[in-house]
Amino acid sequence: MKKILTAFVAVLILGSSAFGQAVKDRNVIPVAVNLNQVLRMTITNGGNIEFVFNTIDEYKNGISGDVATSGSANPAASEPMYQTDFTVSSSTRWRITYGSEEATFIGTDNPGNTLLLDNVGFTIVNNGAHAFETGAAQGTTAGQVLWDEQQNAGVGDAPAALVAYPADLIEDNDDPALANAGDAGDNDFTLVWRCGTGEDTNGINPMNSSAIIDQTVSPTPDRYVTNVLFELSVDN
Amino acid sequence: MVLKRYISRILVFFALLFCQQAICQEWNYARLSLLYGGSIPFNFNSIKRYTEGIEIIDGTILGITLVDSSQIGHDLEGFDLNFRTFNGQATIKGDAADLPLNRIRMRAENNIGLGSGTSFGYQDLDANWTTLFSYTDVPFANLAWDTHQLGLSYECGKPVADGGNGSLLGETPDYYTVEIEVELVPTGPGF
Repeated sequence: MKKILTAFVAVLILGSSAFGQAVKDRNVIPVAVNLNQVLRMTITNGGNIEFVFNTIDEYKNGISGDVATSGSANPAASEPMYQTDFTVSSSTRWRITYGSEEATFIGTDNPGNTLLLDNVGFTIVNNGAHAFETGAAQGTTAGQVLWDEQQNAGVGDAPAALVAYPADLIEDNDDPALANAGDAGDNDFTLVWRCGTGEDTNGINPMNSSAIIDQTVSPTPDRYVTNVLFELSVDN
Repeated sequence: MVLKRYISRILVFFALLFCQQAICQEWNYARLSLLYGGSIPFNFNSIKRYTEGIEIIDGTILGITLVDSSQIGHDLEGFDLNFRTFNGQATIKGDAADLPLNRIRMRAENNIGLGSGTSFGYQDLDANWTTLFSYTDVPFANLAWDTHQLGLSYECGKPVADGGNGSLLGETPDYYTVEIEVELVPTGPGF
């Protein structure tokens, strides 16, 4: 009996002393991050470009949205008549693939009439915070198949000829530290179009060197059209 | 002899009973009560959220219960609230890609009754313990979960320009998860 009483008291004492101090407590909170893909291209101006040749001067010199460089006599060149403005909002690195839906322009009145795509060309102007590769901030680079130098893509630079779809227009620079992902303020561009200006100084993808009036088979008068497609996609 | 056996059994029963009560009572001395926000979702579904990040203020409310057991050699004066990833998780894990832990930051601030404590502001999530909040009160007055509460705020993908560790622009779309462990640690001589 004495042993049992002793054991009883011992258990009580041990029980008390073993747990007689404040203890830590813990909780676990699950946190989830859901990254939804955001990929949007918006053409804000110039969704339909039309060059109307109705003077000999225009047949000789072409029509351009960049009259200072092209030598075009078109008086409306300083207006945004021949410009396409677009923005890109993307949560990931992106690229734009573009090109003519048809291999040539197709006559509206007679589909048998065609006009070479390289009579039309364009330069690209970067208005956003993501500069093209120029040695500093390199968020975005112009497609290397269109310009001979990556930074050669602005007003005053040699234009690239319109080509059939698909061709890379703008792509990510693959810099691990600087993605071209961003909002419309980061990725804001202008395409400056021209037609029949004979600007053939682009070493990669030059325009037709002959003015419309000088071409060996004079194009049949018609309204020539094609759709230019733009596709925005992830560029990882 | 039979009586003696009965008495001994009764004594053993009460010994076990008292021991059990003692354990239960003592384990209540430091207790975190999750009152609100047991799961935190960051849903990035617009460019604005990608560029600015997401902040969830007072996403979790924790009740603090801390009672001085008055044990000799243990002089309770307050507590620290620490946090880290659960089980040493080193990244925020998605199905196909991972994010660095520091893209999530966390802050603890007084919600009720702990205004004299010190908040260390937003701290980067890490696999090691980081202190979010410290509270000292000498002589210590016991804390109860319904009158002493902390609010935990979270931010994810804040750009460096806004004091964060970088936006999530350019990261692979995925469903990323991490478990965050918070710890209530009594402080004072003997702890």
